Amino acid sequence: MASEPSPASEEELRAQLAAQQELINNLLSQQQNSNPQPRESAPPAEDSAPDTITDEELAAKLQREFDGSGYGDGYAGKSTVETHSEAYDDDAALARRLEAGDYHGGTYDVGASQGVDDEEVARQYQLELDRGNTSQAYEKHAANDQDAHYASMLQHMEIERGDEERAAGGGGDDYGGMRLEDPVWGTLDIPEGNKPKPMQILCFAICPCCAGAVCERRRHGPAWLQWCCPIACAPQKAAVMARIGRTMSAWLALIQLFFVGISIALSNGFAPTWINPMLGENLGDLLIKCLHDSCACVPRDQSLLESMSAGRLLRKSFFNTLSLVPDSLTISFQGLTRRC
Amino acid sequence: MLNTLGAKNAALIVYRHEWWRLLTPMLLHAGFIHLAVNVLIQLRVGVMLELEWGLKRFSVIYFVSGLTSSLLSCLALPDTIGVGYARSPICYYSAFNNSQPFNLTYMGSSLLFLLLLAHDGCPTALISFPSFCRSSGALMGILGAWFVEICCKWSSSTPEELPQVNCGKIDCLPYFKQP
Repeated sequence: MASEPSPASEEELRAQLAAQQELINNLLSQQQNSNPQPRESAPPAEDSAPDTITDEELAAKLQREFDGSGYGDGYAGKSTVETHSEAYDDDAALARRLEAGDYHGGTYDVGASQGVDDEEVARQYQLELDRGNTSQAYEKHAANDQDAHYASMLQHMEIERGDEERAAGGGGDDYGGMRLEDPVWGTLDIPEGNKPKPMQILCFAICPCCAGAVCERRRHGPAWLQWCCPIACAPQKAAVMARIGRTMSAWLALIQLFFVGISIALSNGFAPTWINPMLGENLGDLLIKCLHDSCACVPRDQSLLESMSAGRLLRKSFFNTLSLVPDSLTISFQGLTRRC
Repeated sequence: MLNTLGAKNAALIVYRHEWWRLLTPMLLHAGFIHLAVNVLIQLRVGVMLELEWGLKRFSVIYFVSGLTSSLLSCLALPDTIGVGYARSPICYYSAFNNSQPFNLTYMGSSLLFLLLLAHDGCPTALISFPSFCRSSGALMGILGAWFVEICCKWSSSTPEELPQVNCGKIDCLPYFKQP
C-alpha cells in the first residue's frame, strides 16, 4: 500500500495531485475526441455491469482514489487512465483491480496495458527529464511496471528533497535562506517577482511593526472619533497589538515608563546632559547617596572586611569604598560635594 | 530619587535588609534613552519569548535572571547605585540560542543586543551604571532558560504554537515600494 504523505509535504502533494487530476481530465477529453468509436461500440452498462465501466465512472473512481489516498495511489490512477482509456475493454479489469486494491509497490499493476508506443514514451520522458520536470515525466509516461517503479523513485526523491529544504528553513518565499516571517507579527507578503532590499530586511528584523501596512483611514466608530483621529491602526497590526497588550512584558514596559516619569518629575526635571546624557534625572549625587548610606549603615569601628563574608570581589570593592571613611568622608563628584 | 524608588543599593540591602531592592531595579531607568533601549528589547524579544514559552516559564527566567543580575552587581560593584536590569539576558539568550542562524527575528535580537552593549559603554556608566550586571544577568538568563527548557522536556510540555497572522504587504508603505 502507498504510505501516508507526511504532514510537512502535504501542500506539495495536494498541488501535485491537483495537477494530476487536471491531466486526467485532459487525457480523457483527448481520448474521447480522437477515438470516439469504443464508446459507441461499447455494450450498454446495464448489460455488463460487473465487467465494463464508463470513462466517467473510471474518472470518478480515480478521483476518489486521489482524494482519499496517498500520492502513490494518485500516480497509479494517472497511469491507468493513460494506458487503459483507449482500450475500453481493459477498463473493466482495471476497475476490478482498483476495487480489489491490487497494488504493487505503491502502484497499480498496469503491465498488461496495451497501445503504448515505447519509443514515443521514451522520447517524451527524456524531454521531460531534460526540462527538469521529473514529476510530469513520471505522471505521463509510467506505462509499465518498470516506468512506474522508476517514476515512484523520482517522486520519493522529490518529496525527500522538499522535506530537507523545509527542515533547513528554506522553501516558500525565501530569499537567500531568509524568510520574512516573525513569530509575533506573522509573515510579510512580498509581491510576485520582487525581492526586499537589505534595509527593508533590517527594518523587518528590528521592528516588524513598521513593515507593511501600519495605518489606514478610520472608517468605523463614532463620527467625533473619525473627525478627531482619522487615522487608525491597520487591522492586521491591531490584532497583533491586542495580543501583545495582553502580555506581561508589555505591562512591565508601561510600568517602567511610569517610573521614569515619576523619577524625573520628583527630581525637578531633567538633569543637564553633561551630567546625564540619557535624558533623565540628575544622577550626579547617586554615588554620593550610596556612599552616604554605606557610611550610615556600617558602624564606624566595624571592620568591613570581617563583617562581610563574601568573596574577593566584594572585599575589594568595599575596601576601596569604605576604607576612605574612617571617621568622616568628603566626596566630590562633578562639582558636587557631600560630607558624611 | 531613584534610590528612594528602589534602586540597587548594596549597603541598604545588606545592613538594612531591604531585599526588595534586588527586584525593583528591573523597573527603574536613568533616563529616556536608557528606557527606550530596554523597552525596545523587551517588546521586541521579551514579547516573542513570552508568547513562545508561556507566561510561567518566561516569568521564571525573567525574574531569576534579573535577581541574579542584582546580586552579582552588589558583589562586584557595591559602591554604586544601579537601575535597569534583566533585558540583556532575554536578548542574549534569544540571539544566540537558535539553530537557524539566518532567522530574521534572531538577527534582530542580535542587533539589539549589540545596541545594548554600545549603550552600556557610554560615558554614563561612569556615573552609576553597573555594567557588570549585563554579563552576569546574561549568563544567568542563559543558564535559567536552559534549565527551564530541560525541565519542560522532562515534563513533555511543548511551547505554545503561535497562531499565524499576516503582517501585511511589503509594498503598502512608500518606503518599501519597489522601483
